[in-house]
Amino acid sequence: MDQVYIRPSHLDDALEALNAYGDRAHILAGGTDLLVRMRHDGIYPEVILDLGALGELRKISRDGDDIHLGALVTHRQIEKDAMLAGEAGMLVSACHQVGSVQIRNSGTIGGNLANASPAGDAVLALYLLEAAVHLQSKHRDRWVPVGEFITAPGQTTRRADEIICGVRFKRLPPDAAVFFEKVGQRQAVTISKASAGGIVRISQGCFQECRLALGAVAPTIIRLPEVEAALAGSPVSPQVIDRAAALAAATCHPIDDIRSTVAYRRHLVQVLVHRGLAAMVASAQSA
Amino acid sequence: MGAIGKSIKRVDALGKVTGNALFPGDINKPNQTYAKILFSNVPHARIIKIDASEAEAMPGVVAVLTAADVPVNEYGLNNMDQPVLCGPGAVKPYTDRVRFIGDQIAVIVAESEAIATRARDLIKIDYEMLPVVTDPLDAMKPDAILLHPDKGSNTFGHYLIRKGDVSNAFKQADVIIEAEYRTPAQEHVFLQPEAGIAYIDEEGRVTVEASGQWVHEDQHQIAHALNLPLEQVRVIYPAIGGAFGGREDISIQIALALAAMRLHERGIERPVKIIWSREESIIGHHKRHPYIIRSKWGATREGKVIAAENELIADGGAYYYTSTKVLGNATLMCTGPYEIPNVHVDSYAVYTNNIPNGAFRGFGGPQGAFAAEMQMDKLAEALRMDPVEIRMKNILHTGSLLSVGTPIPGQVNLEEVLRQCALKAGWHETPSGWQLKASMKNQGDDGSKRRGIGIGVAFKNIGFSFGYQENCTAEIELHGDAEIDQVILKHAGAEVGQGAHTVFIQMAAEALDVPIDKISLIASDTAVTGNSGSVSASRMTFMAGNAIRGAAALALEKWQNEERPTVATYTYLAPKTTPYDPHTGRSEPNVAYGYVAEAAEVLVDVETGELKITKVICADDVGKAISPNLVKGQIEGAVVQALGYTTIENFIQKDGYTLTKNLSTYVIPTVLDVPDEVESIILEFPEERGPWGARGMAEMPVLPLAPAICAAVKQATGVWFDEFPLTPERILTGIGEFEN
Ligand SMILES: Cc1cc2nc3c(=O)[nH]c(=O)nc-3n(C[C@H](O)[C@H](O)[C@H](O)COP(=O)(O)OP(=O)(O)OC[C@H]3O[C@@H](n4cnc5c(N)ncnc54)[C@H](O)[C@@H]3O)c2cc1C
Repeated sequence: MDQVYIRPSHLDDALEALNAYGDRAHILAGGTDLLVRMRHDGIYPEVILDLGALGELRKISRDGDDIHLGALVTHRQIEKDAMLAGEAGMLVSACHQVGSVQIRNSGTIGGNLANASPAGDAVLALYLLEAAVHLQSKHRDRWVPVGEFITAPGQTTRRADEIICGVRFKRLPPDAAVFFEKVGQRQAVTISKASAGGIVRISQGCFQECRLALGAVAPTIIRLPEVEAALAGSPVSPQVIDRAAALAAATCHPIDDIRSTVAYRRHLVQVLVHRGLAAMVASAQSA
Repeated sequence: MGAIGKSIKRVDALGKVTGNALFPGDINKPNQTYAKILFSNVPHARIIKIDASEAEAMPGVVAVLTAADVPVNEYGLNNMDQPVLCGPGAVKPYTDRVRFIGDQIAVIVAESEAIATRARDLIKIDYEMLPVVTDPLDAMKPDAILLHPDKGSNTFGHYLIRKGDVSNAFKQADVIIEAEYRTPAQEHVFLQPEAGIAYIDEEGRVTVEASGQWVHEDQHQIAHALNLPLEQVRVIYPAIGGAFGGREDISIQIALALAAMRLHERGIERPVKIIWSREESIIGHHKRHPYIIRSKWGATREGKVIAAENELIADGGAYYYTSTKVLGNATLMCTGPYEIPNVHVDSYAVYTNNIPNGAFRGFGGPQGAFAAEMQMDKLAEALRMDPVEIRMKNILHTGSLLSVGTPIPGQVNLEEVLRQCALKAGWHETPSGWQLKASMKNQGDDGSKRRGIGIGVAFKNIGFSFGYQENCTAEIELHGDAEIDQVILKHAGAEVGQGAHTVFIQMAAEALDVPIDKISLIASDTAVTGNSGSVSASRMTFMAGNAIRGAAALALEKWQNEERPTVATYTYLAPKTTPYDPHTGRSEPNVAYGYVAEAAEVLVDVETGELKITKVICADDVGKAISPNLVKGQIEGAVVQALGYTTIENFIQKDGYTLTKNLSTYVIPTVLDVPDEVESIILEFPEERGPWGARGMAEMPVLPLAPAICAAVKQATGVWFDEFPLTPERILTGIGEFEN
């Protein structure tokens, strides 16, 4: 069976093609997930729609406090961007810990979103940033909060005729402290056994705004609303951090698999959240 | 003169960095066909029927070969207990069974790999499932299902050593340490998965170009299975992408040869090519043996080990492979490089429905050394003695009696090897003996991170021996008139990435006293090179060097006598060795040994359980470093491989099925996982039997690293780990952080 390969140079042409082929087409960005699946799971797309020539989707742009990442922005671009470290530091850390340099040079933020892995690293940061995903089709144009976009492992609300064009989020205020940490089977090129990230603001010795997210311990990335609520307004103290970490461990739903166990993942969540909160407190207080 | 002892540019460097070197998968021939192998994918079953009719009828399929097509349906390096293709129709009984998931059932030859793959999936197998046994302890029970019913038992290897009287000696001992150790399987992960191409050459020989470690042995096994005279089979090794023991046994060679032969018989003169995927490679070739080792050792208050009793059980997997040879080494090494007056060892190799286990760098040494070194560390702890000090008190010296009752051959400088390693690692000699410097005893105060250091020693045999007559052939041609203008060295020794060919050329240049650039090498082709034996057991530099020296001396003599062209062939025969005596284990097992001491520094995160090896110091007595950079490369490579074995590599099989079939689930170290520093201390105490004093060395650094790391983790956490890999899950469970 012949495979159709299309590489449009304009978004409109891409949308047109997708409109025509629908779910017979498979979108190709960096290929770091798709090619693995084509080899490994034997999927053989009838049509491959390569977005590689859509330079317009490769840009990081800003409009006031809004930051926009085109879908084809690579992990490496994010990691190396001069301003993002100050605007959304844990996104930079997360992207820095994706795969290897080769993977980061190819893998895109759009692909990381579409892949909808519970262990996705950049996506975890997007949950914390409460980013909105920009989806476009020939007929529609919509924005969906990332937490509603991803529904299950590998499942999103993207419709067959839609392309992810990018994501948008607000830069963090200068007094926000952030963290991202993952633990895998080795130091690089590794899928998280568990990952955690957070954003806090502290004023007058109390946690103010607080966001926490976990990866690889539930069917999707999860935010921790109970823990966030418990922290908000609480005084910064070792007891509060201990309790928050314990609560985070209790609320996640890890599984046993080939890479790790429920017990270890739960334990790791407690350690990572504890460390993350302590580190954010330290950095907020030194600022 | 002066060609050895220098780090010259590798002779294969340019080809490999430019991509000009051809690995088996890179070789294409006009009109070639593509093969795919149907693996059993079930761990134990009898095949009632194979229906390949749909596959055969598929357009583009050239042939489908099954058991009935194999002339002599058996092969094996040490024992021909494995069917080439499993299934009904062969004369030999029990070849209709599959015994592990990687057993081969059919070879599908087609116009493309895609067609061969689709045809493979159309073959229907009617199985009668058989009970599966995967734990060697279960397999040893009298009522266990037999993998090879004709053999009467699943235990297919047993050695023993009886030296002195251990039970009496235990009574004299002031401390006794007992433990059960478990070492894991390990996958080789050579870069290049199995691949090859087979065809009928211009002289009508069934020819296979593939990767392996011993061309003549591959030739022998192919000829046997195809029922062809040896000279009708030709094996050639192109560039080989790593081996580590993983290519000692046959993978694709017989299947390819069979396909080429059968096509030829049907009048189809087309080459057959195959490339295994990583998944096929992982289920298709053997692993390092998991061992269970039960040890009971006793020592006096003064730190003298007076008794060692070990029982070793090796999971052999489904077929014989090199299990008994590996077991022989482990039996010798499991009491360490120590002179112990009373020794009692029993060792067993057992069939199970796991992937066969076999050769892997160290070849039984790492498993044996793990038990031995852990026992020494625990004895030291019980005696409140320094780990270096206790080793010094028991270490082998020149003339020491081995556990097998005979003196160790050659000069032994292990004490000096350990001394140099210990000094570099942070020990010092005090009036009251060896001590770790106080500054190194500190576990560290960096939050959750704990430091530790450990040290180990080992010896490694060079060559297979145990009664096997070690041999190696080299041929040298000298061309020129008054002066030697050109030298052609013919040698079968495989270049598996270790640098063997470079070393061969250096040794030839030295022996002939000609410049290196006058020498060209013709390598690894059974049609033109003599038998070199296997590149394994740290033997090739030693054996090839002696062969090259012999050939060079002969060639120079002929040159002097004006014989033109000058052609000299020489076969080196190593000194005789003897097998284990079946009642006492007494033997003169090996020709020579290499010696190693290794220290590891670790950082343990006691909250996440993560383990980082920060520094490794490895001192090796290599006899003579023919090419020092290559020696260093072997040390550093071995350290990384042993580190993976000890810490993160976790080969998981469940009920005979492999759960870690690819490199995203079977993870090996990346550059960020290797130690920040690996310090190689290359020591050159000449081995009198070795060429220019050289010993073998490429396996040694693998042996003591696991126990050294475990000792370091003990210092960091206070807990002994008798089983590895030291995954975070295992470490946290061990230190009582949680129950897994
Ligand atoms: C060795 C290795 C290591 C890795 N390590 C990590 C890691 O540490 N952390 C991590 O999070 N991920 C990791 N990954 C996964 C992968 O690299 C990332 O998910 C990456 O962001 C995927 O992006 P891509 O552009 O390569 O996606 P592609 O493979 O091109 O596409 C992936 C999927 O997304 C769809 N898609 C892509 N772009 C769009 C779009 N614009 N609109 C609609 N659909 C689209 C494709 O159709 C496809 O289904 C690793 C992968 C490999 C091979």
